[in-house]
Amino acid sequence: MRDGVSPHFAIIYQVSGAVIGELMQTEQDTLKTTPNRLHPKQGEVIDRSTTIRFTFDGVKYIAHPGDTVASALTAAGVKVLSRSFKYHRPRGLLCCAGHCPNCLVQIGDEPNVRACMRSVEAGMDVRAQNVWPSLNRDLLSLTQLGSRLMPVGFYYKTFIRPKKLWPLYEHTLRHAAGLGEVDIDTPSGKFDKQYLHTDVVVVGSGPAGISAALGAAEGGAQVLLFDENSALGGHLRFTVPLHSSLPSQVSKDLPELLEALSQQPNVTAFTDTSVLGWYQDNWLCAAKGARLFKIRTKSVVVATGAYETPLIFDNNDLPGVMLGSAAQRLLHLFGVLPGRQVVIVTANEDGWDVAADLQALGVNVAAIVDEREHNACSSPYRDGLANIGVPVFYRHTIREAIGSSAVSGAKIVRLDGRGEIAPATTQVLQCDLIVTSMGWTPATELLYMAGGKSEYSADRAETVPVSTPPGIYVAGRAAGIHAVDSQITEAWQAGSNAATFAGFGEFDELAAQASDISEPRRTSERVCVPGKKKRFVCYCEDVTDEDVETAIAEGYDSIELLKRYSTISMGPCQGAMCSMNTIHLCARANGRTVQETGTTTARPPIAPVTLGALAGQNVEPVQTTPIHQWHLDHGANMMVAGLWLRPNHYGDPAAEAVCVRKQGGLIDVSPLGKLQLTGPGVPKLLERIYTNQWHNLRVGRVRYGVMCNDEGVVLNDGVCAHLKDETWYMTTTSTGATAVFEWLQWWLQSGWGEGVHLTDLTDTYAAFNLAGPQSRTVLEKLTARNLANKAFPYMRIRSAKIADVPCQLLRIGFTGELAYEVHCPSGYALHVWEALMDVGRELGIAPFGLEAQRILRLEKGHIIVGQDTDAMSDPLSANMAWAVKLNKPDFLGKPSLMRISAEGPKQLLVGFKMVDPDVVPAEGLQVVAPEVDGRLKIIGWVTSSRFSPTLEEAIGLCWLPADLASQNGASFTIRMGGDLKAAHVHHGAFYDPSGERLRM
Amino acid sequence: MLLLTCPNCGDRNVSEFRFGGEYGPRPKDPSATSDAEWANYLYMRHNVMGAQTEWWHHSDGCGLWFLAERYTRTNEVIKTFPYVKRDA
Amino acid sequence: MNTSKTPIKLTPLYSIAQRLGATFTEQRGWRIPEVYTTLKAEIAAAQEGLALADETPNGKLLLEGDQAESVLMDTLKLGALKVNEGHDGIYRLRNDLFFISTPPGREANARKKLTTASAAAEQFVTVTDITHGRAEIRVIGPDSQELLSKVCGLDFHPSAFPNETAKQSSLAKTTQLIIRRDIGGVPAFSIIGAQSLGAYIWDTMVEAGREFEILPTGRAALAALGV
Repeated sequence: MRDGVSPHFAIIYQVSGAVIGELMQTEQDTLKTTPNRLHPKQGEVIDRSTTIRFTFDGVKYIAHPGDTVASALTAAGVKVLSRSFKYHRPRGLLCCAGHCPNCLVQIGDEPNVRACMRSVEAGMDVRAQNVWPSLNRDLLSLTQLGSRLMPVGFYYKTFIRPKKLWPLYEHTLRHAAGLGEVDIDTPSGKFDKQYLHTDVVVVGSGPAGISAALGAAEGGAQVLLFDENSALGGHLRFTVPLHSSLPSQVSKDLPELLEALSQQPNVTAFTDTSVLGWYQDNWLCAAKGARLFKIRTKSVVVATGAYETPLIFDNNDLPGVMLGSAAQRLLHLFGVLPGRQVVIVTANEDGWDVAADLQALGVNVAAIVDEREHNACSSPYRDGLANIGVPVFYRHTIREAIGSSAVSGAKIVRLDGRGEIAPATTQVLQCDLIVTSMGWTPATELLYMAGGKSEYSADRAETVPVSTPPGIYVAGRAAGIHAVDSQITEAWQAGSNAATFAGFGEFDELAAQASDISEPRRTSERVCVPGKKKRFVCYCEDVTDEDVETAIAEGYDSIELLKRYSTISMGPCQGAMCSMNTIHLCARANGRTVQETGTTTARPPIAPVTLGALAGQNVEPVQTTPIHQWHLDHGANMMVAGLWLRPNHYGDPAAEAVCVRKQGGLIDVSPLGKLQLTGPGVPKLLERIYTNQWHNLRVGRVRYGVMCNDEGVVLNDGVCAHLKDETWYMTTTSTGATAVFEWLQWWLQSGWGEGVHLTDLTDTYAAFNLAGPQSRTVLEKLTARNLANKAFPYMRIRSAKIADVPCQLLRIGFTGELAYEVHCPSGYALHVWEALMDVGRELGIAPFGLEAQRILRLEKGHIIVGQDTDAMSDPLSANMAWAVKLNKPDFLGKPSLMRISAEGPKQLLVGFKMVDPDVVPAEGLQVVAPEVDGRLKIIGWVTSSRFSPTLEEAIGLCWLPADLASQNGASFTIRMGGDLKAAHVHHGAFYDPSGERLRM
Repeated sequence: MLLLTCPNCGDRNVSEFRFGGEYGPRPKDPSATSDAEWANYLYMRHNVMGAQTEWWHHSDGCGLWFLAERYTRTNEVIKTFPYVKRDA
Repeated sequence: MNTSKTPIKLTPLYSIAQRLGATFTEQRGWRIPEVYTTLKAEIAAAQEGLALADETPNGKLLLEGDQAESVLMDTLKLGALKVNEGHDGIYRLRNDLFFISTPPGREANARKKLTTASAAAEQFVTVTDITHGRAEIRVIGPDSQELLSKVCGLDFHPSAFPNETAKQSSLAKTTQLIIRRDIGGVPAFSIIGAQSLGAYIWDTMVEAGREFEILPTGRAALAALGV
């Protein structure tokens, strides 16, 4: 039967094939026809009722919905889809299954898209990658003329000297090699993730996968079934398994399997979804377009099938050399003829299936080249094909693909008694398509990641799983089972076992999977036919068998070293096409067995995935205070502080600082950490975690405290108030709130928790600091509480109603002015803030931000933990010795601080002023001093610096050697770029050193 | 991803937890420690290849600090259990 | 002393509701959205699709202490609860920690009652009102499980997360307490976490819920649904 092909088409095609290069250059607007499209047939996935248009390198093509980019281009007769990585050789469809690099294209702004996996969409702009100037006239292909100068490892050997030229080398190499181009102006896409939980995951939806899913679901388990293809069915979608005989109770018919699946409510199927990896505790990662799935399951069935293994021979990368399964996909899924005249190179019955398929659909089978003896072939098509005159060459194989940019013929050769080629018997066959069906490499990456092992079976020339970790099951071709009937029965058992493992049924009754695989051998041990031209092992990185031999001769003879040196299996295919062949070549060169040679480690991702899908949604938590909107409405310049968004200033930070000194200001300090400690054990705990004394702090009083770790390093500081009998209220720095909470939880839960309860109230209360000489006047208008200095002195806490809202008032401040901190329930925050502002505005009060607060605190010489201190700073050195009581019993950090105290601090944090008052050294600059030889030595660094609007001069804090720091007024030098600027040590606060203003 | 069993909340993804380091109690009388003992407590870790007892904090959950026994070579968690104060 | 306005309580989602053009109502001193779009659409979203509601005004107490359970059992005649289990708004978060959810405005009385009971029993139990400290956002509707699976690693299947269960976990990279509280047989989950993260969580839910056509739902629709 010659279905759908006009006898004249062959001639038309040859013409169009020959001139296609010219057509692309000259007739940009001509819509390409689809001479290779067959008449409609059952099982195809395209919708022929409509057509859609797209372009490839600017030329217009048509496709049907359901077509992939590759199938549509093949239908139009396009054979060259890309240029190779290193030599820029033309490459065409090889696997048609998303496993090789040959059809990677750029679509719009998306690089490295597999044309054989991506469905055509109307208006798609598809472009060839890695070509210069164009796909069909790639001048860089001249590089292969000099390929003797580019041996394996040439990057390492050639471009290392002189070192200073590396940037030039790198630029040129990046241009010549590599894949698609990333357009950094591309707007970020929408990506997200989803967590899935299930009992059983089945990866792969061929007959084995579907059967395993049914087996598991019938046991009662919830099953998720994943497949990277656009539809379920695996190879049943494009092969007709005539040569298998099935027991009657199981169907090998895909529609019936799919029907059974659709009746099974426990199975959820995901198509177009690649499982990327297995991680500990049965955690799987999968990607479907822009969504990443993170899947937790109790057991896994690996039904990932097998990769068809390419044969290595002269020019084996020529467009028109294709795997058997690729030809079948094109024929059956898309109704596309991969060629007109084919030479089939095979070693198994699968090759004969392909031959029968191609012949039935109108391809002239020029020859079947089977490396086996005549009597080893048991294909049901054997006699039929021979009877209609198809030439069959037993004990032959291919030597070379002939052609410049596409196949125009094949050289075949007889094998002698030892299985070696007999060159004298070489003959040339005309053809435009060479199909190889040499066998299979089981796709067992997931099994290996999970800790399973395979062994190489020399009889079968395939690896066979020999150990599977608990909860991991293998089925179908991945388990070395090729016959559909066996796949279905064995996989059912695997699925049933997986359900049992997941807790459905008695585990003891776990039935063993049959390991006796008695089907005929499918895979040839012949991986490479010697010759005189280039023979590619690795299509991704252009590595030939000679490169492999060279690398091994140079000493890279273990499989892992060979991989890294030659970069085999490190390209886009990740070893799918090349790993088994490489192991064979490596074994042969070393005179070892394949089993002894071993395999490289399987790592995620198994399938290509976009970085966007891995990165997920572009969101990070943001914390806002209850009056965030007020700040925005009043022109605040917001800054990020930890996770918080806070006002940095409202226009003029210096003016805000001056306003606080002159009248007053209001700052939102809601992010302050606020912890409630209750219970009889609190005083003892405070003594242990703070460096100063706490047991004597009376109710209504507030004290400043410093927390250290046992190394004596300052962790945090803040005030703590004794609210009532057994209730204390602690504040921490804003960015350290979570860390302090965890720190306290740790000590409470690891032995110091007796009689103490800890509650985080950070979010429960908003906090505003009202600072400045007018602050008492403002507050008095809003509360009945007596605020007189005597009734409510400095460092006290009082509860009071402010604007009818119950609040806590703390008379504390960071600014050095008379100040009250108002802590009110968050829901009332806006009410209280607006009440304070309404009253305060008449008295000249203005809101101020973090920048003004930083200026004000620096004028007072107050340090900020984490800015002026670091992970090495102890309080004795950091100007906080007054807050350390070494004579009290044990506290965190005491033993270390005792030792530091005994030795004396080496560096001290100290204030400084600049000799030139207008020069503000940036924070982080070095303090330097000349050595004997005149060179400058770094002796300290600046941690804080500002121009003080109050004092009208530059001030700051810096770390200096202790002897220098202890001399008030001592001079030192700060390096600012190329200049050295003079500064001098300043002891005490820069402003109001006696602290009168805050006690007014 | 590793599953960790919070003694309070049950099995959770390890990303909900914060690692707290090897279990190593603070010396009973810190003021009586020699320099070597104190440095040993602060800085020296056993770093065993085998079963290690270590602190974990369910920071994105119930806030419990608990102990886990884990094989450092295989990352297999043998058991998790709440800390119980051994003496007063 | 002068105060011009009566204090009103605002939730961290107030500005968002304002931007969405919601009409507002008052619930026990809290100003909360009455209707965002139309009552009919909001009820339909909750029953058939996915709705998002601000329930921050609900009272929230923490009860901590080794004897917290016995105080609760004595005061409220409550049966034993396992960790993560809940009953009538009382959820056990740890052996020594309970979360109590009350209707808006009832938290002060509940706190008083429990504090008095603890003192009377001479038990060291701390009762803390954290109503103002936590945003409470409820996702309601048949798609709520699916929505949560996009932002949180917990298994939300009813077999793993039945009604009246409370779990603390990481949700959209923040720590949240998630309580399943169905409404008339429709799945619904309350997400309770730091109020400073409330707007972020709301925005994250809206973004993740876009594919389910998530709809903000006001007090009127909740009342119609019997909440």
